Amino acid sequence: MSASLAIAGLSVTFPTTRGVFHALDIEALDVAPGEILGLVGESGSGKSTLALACLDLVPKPGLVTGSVRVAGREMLGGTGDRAGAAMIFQNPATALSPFFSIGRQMSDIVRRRRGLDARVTEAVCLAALDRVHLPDPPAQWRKYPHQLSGGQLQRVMIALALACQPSLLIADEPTTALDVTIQALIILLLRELAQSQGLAILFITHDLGVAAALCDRVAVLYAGRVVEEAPVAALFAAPRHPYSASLIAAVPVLGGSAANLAGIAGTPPGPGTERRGCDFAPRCPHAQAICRSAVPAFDGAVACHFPLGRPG
Amino acid sequence: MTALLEVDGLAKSYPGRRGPVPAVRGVSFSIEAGETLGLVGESGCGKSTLAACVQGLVAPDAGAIRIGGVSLTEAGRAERRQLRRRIGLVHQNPYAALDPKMRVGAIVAEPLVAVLGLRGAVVQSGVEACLADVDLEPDFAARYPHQLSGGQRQRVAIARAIALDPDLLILDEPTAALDVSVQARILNLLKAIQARRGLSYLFITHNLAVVEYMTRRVLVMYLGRVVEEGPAARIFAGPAHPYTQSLLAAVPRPDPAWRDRLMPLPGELPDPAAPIAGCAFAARCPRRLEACTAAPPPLVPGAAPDTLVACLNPLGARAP
Repeated sequence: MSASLAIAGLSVTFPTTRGVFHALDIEALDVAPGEILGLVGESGSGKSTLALACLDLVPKPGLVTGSVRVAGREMLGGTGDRAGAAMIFQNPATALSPFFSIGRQMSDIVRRRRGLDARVTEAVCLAALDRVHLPDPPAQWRKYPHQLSGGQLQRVMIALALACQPSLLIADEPTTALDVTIQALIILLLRELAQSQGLAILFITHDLGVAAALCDRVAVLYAGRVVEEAPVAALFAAPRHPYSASLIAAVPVLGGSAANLAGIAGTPPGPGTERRGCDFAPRCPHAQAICRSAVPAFDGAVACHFPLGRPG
Repeated sequence: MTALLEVDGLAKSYPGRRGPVPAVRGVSFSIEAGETLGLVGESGCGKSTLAACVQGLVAPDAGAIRIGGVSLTEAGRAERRQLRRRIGLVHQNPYAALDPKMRVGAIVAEPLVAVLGLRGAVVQSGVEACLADVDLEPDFAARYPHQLSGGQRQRVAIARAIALDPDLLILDEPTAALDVSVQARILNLLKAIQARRGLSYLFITHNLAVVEYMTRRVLVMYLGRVVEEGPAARIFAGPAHPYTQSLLAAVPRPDPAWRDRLMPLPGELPDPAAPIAGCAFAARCPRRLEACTAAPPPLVPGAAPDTLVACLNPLGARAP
């Protein structure tokens, strides 16, 4: 079976007054059907640019090259067929119009995407609302966005995405604006959908706790490059890239030791920063001379000259 | 020893279409000098209204707020201005808190000039001292907010908040908008400033791990009331109130082994405008008794030492 998402040689650059800014440089990244891939990293690491690139939505004057295939179909190049992927956003309230009912907004999109008649569309949408465990779907159908809570709206967005029958769901920080009790509900729902529907999910988050609770595999993004990719248990048990290790060490843990948390000094390279060698070298506690001159190759697991916990 | 901040029976309702909507329904607590009190709860629990009342920005309907023994609620205009000077505030979003057209130096100088009426070299040395307190070099004074990273902006906001040498800082989700790598550094900075200046903090957050890291004592609020209070480590290790337990079960931990223990809280927050006869959490509570819906349970000492809990059927009540 082909991958739900297959990224190859993807590069996104933006021209700036201080030269070309390489926002994203991904050699290869796949998500299998039913798999949840977490994409973690700090602000500016390129997480959201990657989401937009997957839908060929990078704003001008950004330049996108390479290939993004969703269920075997190429997304890039403006072919117009992006029906294989759906996306949900951080703030569900701004993703819906306040002027139209939930039903109207869902049916407009689903009819257009799937070419169904009104009666079938309504049945499909109501079934989708039921699948995200919203009580009494016909009642939700008539409501307006302001009558629903943030958690309910996010479930409407997920239902809308499901009703379009995507192979891939891109979720960009979908729980960041929600309370933790609601966040837990969304996490369990996404896990259930991946398992029962074979939905592939690309889950973007800066919250390592959420990544640990939800994802099967995690890719750590730094300055537009994947610096480490690992099954979730392995990443948290024994991170190999010093950046992954620093990120994990910076998260306060309930019942953790009272010892001081370790932050990461400095900031990721931005537009105008000269980039030579490993992008993390200026902030890395283990950096040596070669790290500042040669870009470490990604070996399928980690991109580091001196990975942690090297066997042997 | 008098507490630095005493809040007693505070209540505040906002007008609604169908009558008043209570936001805070009778909250009492105190903060000692040099102490950090954590305040946790979800959207709609009244955290922000409580903070606005303590700052003197919102007049409570009932209850008293005393700062260093002086009543803020009964103070006249001039006295209120004096009291408010003793309270600094740091908001969640450092991008919105700083005027984009002002240089960092002017931002930090503003309270010194506007409130203390300082001029000239004194202002400059005051600004430099405040920037040094937040580990920013003096040359940051010449920069504009857009030239700073999120963490640097939050440092500037903290520098401005401590410029008047307050006794209490209200920290309203100060790291919620920051990356974890930056959050850790800001939290450590806040601890260092507190150790240096002997400040008290009212630390408002929805992040239980952050509150445990920052505070000894924590208040858990639900729909305008305190449901549990006590040492953070003790409450989080063994919660007595079912709501605290539900919150803890919903927090994702950075440990994949924990994932199967993640539990959402069923149901929705009840309509705050609707009258609630008993415990506000009763409708969603797995340990509900018949008496729970009759009258709000009083906040009484819990089984664990130094804890208070407002529950008729608390967890671990019969523990040895």
